[in-house]
Amino acid sequence: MKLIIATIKPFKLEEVREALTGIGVRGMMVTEIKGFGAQAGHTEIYRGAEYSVNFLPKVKLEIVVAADLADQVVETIANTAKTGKIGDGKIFTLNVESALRVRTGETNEDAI
Amino acid sequence: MMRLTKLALMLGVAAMAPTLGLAQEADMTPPNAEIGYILTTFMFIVTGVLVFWMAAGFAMLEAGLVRSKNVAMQLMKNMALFGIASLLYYAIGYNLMYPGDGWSVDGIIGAFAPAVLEPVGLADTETDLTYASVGSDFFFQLMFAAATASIVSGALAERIKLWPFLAFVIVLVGLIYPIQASWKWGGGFLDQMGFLDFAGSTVVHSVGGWAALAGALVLGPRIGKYKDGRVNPFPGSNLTLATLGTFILWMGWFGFNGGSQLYMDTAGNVADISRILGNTNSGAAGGAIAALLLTKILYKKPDLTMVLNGALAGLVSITAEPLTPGLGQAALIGAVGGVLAVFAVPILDKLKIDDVVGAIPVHLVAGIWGTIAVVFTNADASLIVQLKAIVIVGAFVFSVSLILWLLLKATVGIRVSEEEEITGLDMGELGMEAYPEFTNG
Repeated sequence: MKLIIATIKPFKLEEVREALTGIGVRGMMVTEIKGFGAQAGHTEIYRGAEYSVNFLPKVKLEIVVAADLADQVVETIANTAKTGKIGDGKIFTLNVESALRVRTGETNEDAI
Repeated sequence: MMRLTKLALMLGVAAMAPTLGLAQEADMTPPNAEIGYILTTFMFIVTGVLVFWMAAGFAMLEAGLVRSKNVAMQLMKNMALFGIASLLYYAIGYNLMYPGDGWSVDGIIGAFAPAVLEPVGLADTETDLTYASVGSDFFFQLMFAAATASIVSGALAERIKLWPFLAFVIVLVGLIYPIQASWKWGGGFLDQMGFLDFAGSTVVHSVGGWAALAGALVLGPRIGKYKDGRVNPFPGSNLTLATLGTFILWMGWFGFNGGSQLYMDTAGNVADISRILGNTNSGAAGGAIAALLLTKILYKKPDLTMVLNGALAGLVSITAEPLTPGLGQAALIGAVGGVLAVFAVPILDKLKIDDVVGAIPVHLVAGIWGTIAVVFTNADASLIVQLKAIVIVGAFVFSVSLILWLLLKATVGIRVSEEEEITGLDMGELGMEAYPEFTNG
């Protein structure tokens, strides 16, 4: 099993979810996050005082899938979330040791 | 079914019976001599309710402009100060402000006695029918005293302790506000000098502003606000609420200025009240537009919080004379107020005076401007007298407030601990949050 962590632009979330459901992904965890990468920040003015916006809003997806599906998931996210402009996000893939479904006690691939 | 119809018929007859009976026995038209009294009293009741609603405006504006960890505390201060203002104005304030012939020190200190209303149904009284009921006058004037205290609350947000703040409110509403207000509105020495302040650019707004300035100086800025020669903005938690609060204040101001005509017993007075409402609206519009354009020019993007301050500064500016200007002049007076507020905000920051919601730019700076602006449209006003009154009221309110804040600081302390300020006053002072992020729901 693999855990795929992807950060994407918030407005791309629905499109990515649809594409992933289409290739057989059956669940995901979504978090609103802030962060910085190549896009870095910018400065704004609030009541006459300048301040820097160092962290930009993104959406983080966490998806656990069977190992043989992982490459396809990464590819799908990359294709769907891409706008070609700076700040499109990053995708990481990690190994997962175990999984368990709380309701039934099923484990590993049966649980995801 | 039959029984139901019968019952309904009987009820209908019963409901109509008193009307029928009275129509035969008495003419319900009020005597001509009472009509002016009735309309003026009614006017005070309606405008008083409008001014009351400004308490909601202040609460929402302040809740929106503080950070989310301090919102419940800000709301608590607004609730508590309104309660205190109501009781103190009854116990001391009203007669201290309006002593009639009962001055303790002629023209300077009014009478010390609690407010007393007319007996029920005006029984056994010789009522002066040329004005309004004492009840309506008390109700209307009380709201102004509470507004003064609300102004102080916003400037000192996010770092002041609850109880010392409320102790200050007691003295502000019980003594400071009514004493200086008696000088003008109670017929005291400023009034005799020829000072003009229609609805309180000086008497209400600058007084709140001076008290806030003294408090902000003694209290010091919030932790991290001014660091290494830089100003660090702490963006407000909810600009939707702040905007709602501003619109509520704008609405309440129609009562604030309109009711200050004090009479609605003639066609001339009613026409004047409508003129005042039009001008009050123009003043706010001028202030908002001025702030919108100015922040766009200065900062490239218009600043909503400054536009809110601009509208309020416009309202404060037109409050000293909302009757004599034309609609265009009122807009210009308001616009100058809006410009002054936009410039005053960064100037205060340069001086490291931390005013969380912009109360000092809006109520003190625009209040002074509005008091001066009376001379442009009212031929009875004298610039020298207006300036004198600004200085006298300012010196009195600022010095007494400063002493009081210093006393409170030296005895009970006025500032929360550093740890509590960082965690937020909601948990530290109240043990609850306005916006709990994690619940057991």
